[in-house]
Amino acid sequence: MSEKIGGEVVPDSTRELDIDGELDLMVEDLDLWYGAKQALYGVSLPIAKNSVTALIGPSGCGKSTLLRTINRMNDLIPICKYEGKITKGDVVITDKGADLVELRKNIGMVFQRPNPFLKSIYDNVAYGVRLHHSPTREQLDQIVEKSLKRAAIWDEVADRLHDLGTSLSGGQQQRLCIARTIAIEPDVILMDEPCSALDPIATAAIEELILELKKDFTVVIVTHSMSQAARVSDYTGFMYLGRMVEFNKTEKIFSEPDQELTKRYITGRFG
Amino acid sequence: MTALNETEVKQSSEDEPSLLERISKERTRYILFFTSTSVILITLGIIQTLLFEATTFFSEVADGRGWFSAEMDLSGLASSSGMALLVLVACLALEWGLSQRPQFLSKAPALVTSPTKPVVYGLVAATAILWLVVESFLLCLVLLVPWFMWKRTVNAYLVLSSPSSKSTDKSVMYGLFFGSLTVLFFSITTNYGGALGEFFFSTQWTPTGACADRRSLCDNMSFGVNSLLFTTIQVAFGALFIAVPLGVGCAIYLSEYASPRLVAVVKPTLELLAGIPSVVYGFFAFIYIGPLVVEFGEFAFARGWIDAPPNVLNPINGAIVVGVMILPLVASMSEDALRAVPNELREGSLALGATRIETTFRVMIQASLSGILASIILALSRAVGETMAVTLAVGTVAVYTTNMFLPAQTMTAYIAQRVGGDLPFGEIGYLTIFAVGLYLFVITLCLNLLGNKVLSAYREAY
Amino acid sequence: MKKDIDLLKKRNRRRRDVMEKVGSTGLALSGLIGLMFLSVLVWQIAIPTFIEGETGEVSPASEFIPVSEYILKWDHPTVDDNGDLIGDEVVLRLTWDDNGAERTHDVAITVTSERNLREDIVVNESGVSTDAVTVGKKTKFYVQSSLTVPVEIEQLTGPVPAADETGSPAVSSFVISADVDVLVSEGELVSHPFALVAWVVLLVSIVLLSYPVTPLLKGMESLIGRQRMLRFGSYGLGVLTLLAGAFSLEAYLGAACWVVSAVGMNRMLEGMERLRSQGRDITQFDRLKHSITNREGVLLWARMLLVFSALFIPLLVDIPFLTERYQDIFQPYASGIRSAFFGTIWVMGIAMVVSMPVSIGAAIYLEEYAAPTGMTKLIQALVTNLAGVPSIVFGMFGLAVFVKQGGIGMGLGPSILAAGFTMGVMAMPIIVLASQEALRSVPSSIRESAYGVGCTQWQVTRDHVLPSAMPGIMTGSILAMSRIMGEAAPLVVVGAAALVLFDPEPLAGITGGNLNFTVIPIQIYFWTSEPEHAWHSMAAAASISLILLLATMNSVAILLRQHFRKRLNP
Repeated sequence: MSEKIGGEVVPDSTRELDIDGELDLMVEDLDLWYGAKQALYGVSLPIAKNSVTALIGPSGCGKSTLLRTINRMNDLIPICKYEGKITKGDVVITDKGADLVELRKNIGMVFQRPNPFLKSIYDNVAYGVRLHHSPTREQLDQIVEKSLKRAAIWDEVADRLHDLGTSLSGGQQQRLCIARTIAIEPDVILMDEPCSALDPIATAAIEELILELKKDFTVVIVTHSMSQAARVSDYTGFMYLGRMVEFNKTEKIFSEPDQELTKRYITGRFG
Repeated sequence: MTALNETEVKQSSEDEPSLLERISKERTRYILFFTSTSVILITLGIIQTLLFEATTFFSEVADGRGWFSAEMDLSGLASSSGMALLVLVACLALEWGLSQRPQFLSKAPALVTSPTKPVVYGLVAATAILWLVVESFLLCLVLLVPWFMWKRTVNAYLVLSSPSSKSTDKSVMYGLFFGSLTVLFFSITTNYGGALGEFFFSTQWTPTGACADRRSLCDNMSFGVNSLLFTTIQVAFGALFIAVPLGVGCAIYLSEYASPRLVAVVKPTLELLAGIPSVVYGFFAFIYIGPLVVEFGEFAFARGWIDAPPNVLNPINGAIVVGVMILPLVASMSEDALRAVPNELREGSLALGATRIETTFRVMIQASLSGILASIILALSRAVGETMAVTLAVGTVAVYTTNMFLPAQTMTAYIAQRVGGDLPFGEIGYLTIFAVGLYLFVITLCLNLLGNKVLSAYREAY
Repeated sequence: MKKDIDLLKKRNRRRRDVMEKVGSTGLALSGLIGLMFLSVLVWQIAIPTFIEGETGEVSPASEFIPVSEYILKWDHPTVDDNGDLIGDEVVLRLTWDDNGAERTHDVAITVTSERNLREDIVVNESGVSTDAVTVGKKTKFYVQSSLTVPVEIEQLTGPVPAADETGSPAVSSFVISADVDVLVSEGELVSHPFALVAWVVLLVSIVLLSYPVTPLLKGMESLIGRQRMLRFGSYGLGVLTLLAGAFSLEAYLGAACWVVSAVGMNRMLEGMERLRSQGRDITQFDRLKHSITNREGVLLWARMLLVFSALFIPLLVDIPFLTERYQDIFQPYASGIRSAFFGTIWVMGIAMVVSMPVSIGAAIYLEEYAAPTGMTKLIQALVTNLAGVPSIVFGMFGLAVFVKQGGIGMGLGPSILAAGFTMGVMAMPIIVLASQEALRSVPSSIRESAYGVGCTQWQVTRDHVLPSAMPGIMTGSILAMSRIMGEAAPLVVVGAAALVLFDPEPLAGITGGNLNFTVIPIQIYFWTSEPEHAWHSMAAAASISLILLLATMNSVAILLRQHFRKRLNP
C-alpha cells in the first residue's frame, strides 16, 4: 500500500526488518501525534546490540521524534500522544507505569546542540553518577577519568577539570556531553544529530568516537549527512514524512536500495 | 549600527559643514538628543537637591553644636587617621613609581618579593595587634591596601616578571587617590566635625525638640539616622524573608511544573497583585495584618519573650506587607530567569535519569542563579524605598529597639510623616528629610547598580 | 554482563521518589500561599465597604459589676420636626439565654433632632423595660443589663449609627452604590436628543462596518460619490449637537460620535467605489472588507468611543461616591472622593502630557540615533537606575524644583501642576525603558529595507519603525501611567491636602487661586490614619474604586496590545 502526498508516492512503513545478531530494542507500530498533527505513521525499527543504527531522511520526517520517543523525552511535550510499543528485553518502554528514571539511566541521550551544565567539567561528568549512586571520592575520580578517556577528551581537559564546562569549544563540549552520558554506563546511547553544530574536525573526532563506543554500547544516531551514516553505521533506516520507508544494512541501502524514493534521496535527486 | 553608518557616510560626504548647517540638516536628531538629555537633567536635579540641602543640614548641625570651625584644624592629621593617610599616600607613590619604571621591582631585595613565612605571619600579627591597640577602624582598613598591593605586585612579578597592564595601574591609582582624599577629609573632620559622626553613628533620632524657637537647633535634638536605618533594615530583610522563599518557589513551580493553562491564570494574577497600589497594601496591613501580629505578640508577651506589650503598628506588620508586595516582583523576575535557561539543559539532565526536583535544584537554579539573585536585589531596593505601606504599617515613632512588636519608623516613613505637617522652608526639620533622603537615595542606587550589573552579566551568559 | 558502575552503592530510589513528591508539593504550596494572600487581601478590602448595622454584646453582670452597659449613639434624626418618619425605623433585637430558652425582644428607636434627650434600655429577669425609646441626635444612651448571661444586640433595620441625614446607608449596604438610568431619568431624557441620535448612528455604522447586510449596502450605493456631502453634513450635525448640548461632556461625545461614524461611512463608501471601479459586485462582503482602508483601526476606535460614550449618552451612570460627594468631616458615610477623583484625573493628564513626548523622544534617540559613546552609555545607565529610585525621592525632587520658590525652584506651590510635573518626571524612566524595549523588538530587516529604498533616517524612524513599535510604546505608557496613578508617596511630599472640599483647579499654580488638591491614594492614606472605623469603610471603598480604575486602564492596554499584535502578524 502506498499513499500519494504532494505529488510524491510515499510507501507505507516497511515491514522488512532483518538484523543479524542480538536484538536490543524493538520499536513496533509507533504512531505519534503532536496535537492534531500526526508525526509518525506505524513506524517499526529493530535495534541490534553493540551496533550503530543510523536514521536518515529530510528535515521534519520524524527521525528526532522517533529517537526522543525511545527514552520518552517526548513526555515533556504536553500535547504529544503516541500509540504502539517499544520494548527493551522484557521491559515495555511505552508502558504508562514505566520507571522513567531507570529507563533514562539505561538509555542515554546526546543532543543536537552541546548542552553542558553550568558546572565544572568534573561535576558535569559526575552529575549523573551522583544522581544514581553514592560513590566515594576515589571511585568518582576514577569514573570521571575513565569516562573522559573513553570520550577521547581526557588529554585536552585533564589539567583543567575544575573549569566551567561551558568554557570548552563546541566539539569539546559535545564530547563532554558524551562523557557525561557514558559515565552512568547506559546500554543504549541515542544521538540526535550530534555533529550538526560542529566543524569538520570536531565531527571527525566524534565519528571516530562513535565507532569506538560501538564496542560497549548500542548506538542510535540521527543524522542529516548521508556520508556520515555510511561511514559510521551498521544499519540504516530511511524515513520520509513520518514513515520508515526502508530499513536495512548500511551497505545494502547505499549500494542497492529497494525503494525508488530511497534511491533518489541518497543520490541527491530529491523533490 | 546601520543608523550609525548612515550618518557617518552622510557627514563625511559633505565638505565640512558648519555646526549651524549640520543642526538644521539633522534637526530631528538634535531635538531627540535634547529630549534624552533631560534624563541627565533630572538626575542632576535630584542629586543637586538632595546634596545641597543635606550639606546645609550638616553644616547647620555642626554650627549649632560648635563642632565645625570654619578653618580646618590640621592637628587631626596627627591622629590615627593621619597615619592612615600617610600609608595611603605611600602606596600611591609606590604605585606611581612602579608604573613609571617597572624594572624597579626587580631591584628590590628578595625579602620583599618572596618573603619567608615568619615575615608574613609577623606582618599579619602586627596588623591584628594594631587593630586591638589603636582601635582605629579606618587605619586597619587602610592597612589592608598595601597588603593587597604587595600580593598583586609579587604575583605579577613571579608569573610574568612584568606588572599588570597600564589600564589597571591607572584605575588603582585613581582608587588610591580618592581613597587618600576621603581619609584626608575624615582626618580633618571626624575629630572635630561631629555632625557626620552623629548622623551615621548615633542611634538617637529626635529631630524635634522642645525649643522656644522652632528654627534653631537645641540640645535635646539628636540626629542619629541609625534608628531609622535599623527599622528600614528590619522591614526590608523581613520582607525578603517572606518574599524570597515564596516568590522563588512560585517561580520554580510555574516554570518547571505548572501546566501552560495554570501559568496563563497565575501570571496575570501576579501582575494584578503587582499592580495594586502600595497605599492599598498599607490599608490591608493596618486593618488586617496588624491585629494578627498583635495576637502573636500578646502570646509572646505572656511568655515573657518580649519586654513590652505589642502594638498594632510594628515592623513585623510592615515586613509582612512589604513581603507580600514584592512577592510578585521576585516571582515574575525569577520566572523569567528560569525560562531563559535553554531547554536543552533541562532535557540533558532528565535524559541522564534525574528526577524533576533533582533537575530543578541541581541544574536549573544553578544556571539561572544570577537572574534570581538580581530579582532579589532589585526587590530589596524596592522594599527599602517603599513608603506608604510602611508608613501605615510600622508607625511613626523613631526608636532603636530589637523588639519588633513596638511601633518604629523607617527612613521613608520619616520623610512622609515629616512633610505631612506644614513644614517651613529652611527649618532644621525641613533639612533633615533631605539628609535622610540622600542616604536612602545612595542605598537604593547602590542596590540598583548591583542588581542591574548582575542582571546584565546574566543576560550575557545566554 | 555486569557493569563497573553497578559495583557502586546505589542511592535509595524510594527516597528519591519521596523527595520528588515532597519537593513539587512544596513548590506548588508556595505558589498557593501567594494566591491566598491575594484572596485574603481582596476579601479584607471588600468587607469594610459593606456597612452593617449595630451588632454587639452586653457582657454579663456579676457580683462585682451589678449592671453592665453597652453604649449606643445615632448621629442623625430618623423623624422630621413634625414627628414623621424619614427613611427606615431603627429596630434593635436583643437576645439572651434564659435557662435554656431563648428570649428575644425588639426595641424601636426614634431619633429626634433635639439634643441631650436620653432614654436608656434596661434588661433584667422580667424582660426589657420598654419596646420603644426616643433619643436625641448625637446623644449616647445605654443598654443596661443586670442579667448573668450576655445579651446580644443586633440592628434589624434603619440607618447605621453614623449614617448621614437622609438616613442612608441603611443596614447592610454597599458604600459605592451606583444608579443606572437607561435613556430616561426622572421623566427626562438623560442627554440631548441630538447626542442620542449621534450615538445610535455610531452604533449602526459599527454594525454596518462589521456585518453589512445586502439591502443596506444596496441603499448606500446611491451615496457613492457624495462622501464630501456626508462629511460636511456630519460636521454640521456635530456643531449642532455641541450647541444644543451647551458644550457639556455629552455634547462633545455626541459630536465625536458624528465625526467617527462619518469617517467609518466614508471609508466604506470609498471601498465600495473601488470595488465598483473594478467591476465587481459591491455586496460581496469578503471582498469589500479588504477594500476598506484600515477597517480594523476605524472599528477599534469607533468601538472604544461607543463603549465610553455609552456611559453618558444612552445611560446615566451615577456613582455618587466617585463623582458627586465631597468629603464630609463630620459624616463619614456621606463622604465621597469627588475632589480626589478629579484631582487624580488632572494629575495623570498633566503627567502624561509632560512625560510622554520627552520619554518617547529619548527612547527613539537612544535606540535609533545614538552612537555607542560614553554619553549614550551614561544616559542609558541613568535611565535604568532612575527607574529604581524610590518614589519618595522623586517627591523631594518635585518639592525642591516645582513647589518651592527660590534656588532652582519654580514656585508652583503645592498645586496640581507641581504634582503633575513630579509624576511626569517619575513616569519618564519607566516609559523610556518600555519604549526602548518596543523599538528594539522591531526587526532590523524593516530598517534595512527602508534604507534600501533611500529613506532618510528620520523617514525610516517615522514611517517604518515607529508604526511597528507603537503598540509596545502605547502599552508601556499606559502601564506606567497606571503605576504612577497608585503612587501616593511623592504627592505626600509635594503637599497634597488631606481635606479638599471643592473641585481642583488645574492651573492654579500659575494663575493663582486655590492650590489645594488631593488624589485617591492620598485620600486612602489619610482616611486609613483616622481612628474611627467608619472612615476605614470609606478608605476601603476608595481602594476598591482605585483598583477598578487601574484594572480598567490595564485592560485597555492589554486590548490595544492584542489588537495591534494581531494586525502586525495576522
